[in-house]
Amino acid sequence: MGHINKTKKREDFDSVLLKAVDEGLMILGVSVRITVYHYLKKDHDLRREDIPKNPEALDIGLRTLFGSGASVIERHVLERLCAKLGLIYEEKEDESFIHYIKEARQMTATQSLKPPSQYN
Amino acid sequence: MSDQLINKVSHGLMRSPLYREQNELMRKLACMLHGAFFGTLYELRKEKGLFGVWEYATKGISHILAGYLTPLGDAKIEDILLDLEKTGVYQGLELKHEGNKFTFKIGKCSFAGGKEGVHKQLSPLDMPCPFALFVGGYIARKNPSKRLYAYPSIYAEEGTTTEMELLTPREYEQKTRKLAEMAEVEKEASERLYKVKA
Repeated sequence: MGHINKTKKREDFDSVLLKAVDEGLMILGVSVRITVYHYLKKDHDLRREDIPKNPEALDIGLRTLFGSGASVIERHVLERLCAKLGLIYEEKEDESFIHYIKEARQMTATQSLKPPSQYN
Repeated sequence: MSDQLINKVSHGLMRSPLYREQNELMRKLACMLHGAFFGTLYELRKEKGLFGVWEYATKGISHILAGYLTPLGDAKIEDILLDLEKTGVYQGLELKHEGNKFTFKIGKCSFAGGKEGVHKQLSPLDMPCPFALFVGGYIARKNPSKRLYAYPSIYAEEGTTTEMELLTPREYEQKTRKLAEMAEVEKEASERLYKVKA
């Protein structure tokens, strides 16, 4: 039962993270978002659905493409992710995108998640 | 010469007709370049998409250096930026350099903020800022064996931050080819979306 719960929580977190990435990329518009996913797949061998397993590749891909501007997209992703998980997003200068994702994953693993339909 | 005297002399110079004339000329140049570049890039953005306009903008750096920078002669970039700040059009100009990377920051741009400000028409990350392209042109002119590649600018309500990088001609070629390829993908995606909406 515990194992099933853990797997369910991981799947829930992964789908919430994917939605947050979708929404974060939307600051650039739909067609740019499609183009960025195409680029991630072609140049970084990263399919959209694999992003939760490998957020590092997303970070590298965005930074290679947009330079330091990638942080703007990543901030939007984290804001959306935290809003969906009911967490408070506090930006810290020294913390990386990956650190925040790991922290959010850990925090949601120890608390009960809302049913997916209740995420904004 | 004492500091007091220097201040008096420089204050006097600032009030001199020649200084005022130069300042006015610099202000007009800044307004004209910003208006022309922003207007052109903004229209291109609608037509070509982000990657298309980005490609045009980064390639445009070489055109800028060929024409507009020549009258500035051998003036140092720090002096040009100081002169531009004195016009009141831009404030808080900062050019940082680390290795091959440059970060150009505009704390406050007269064209940016408010209801009529041009930044409202853009995404928080969008086409390279026209003034950053001008500065990029200067960097490129000082490094003729390299090519300058500009990344999209981060737009805040009042200012921008733009990263630029000096690349070898080969690296530059690879990056701009990638932009052209992505511009094609974006164009196709945009056309598909347009058809679905229609």
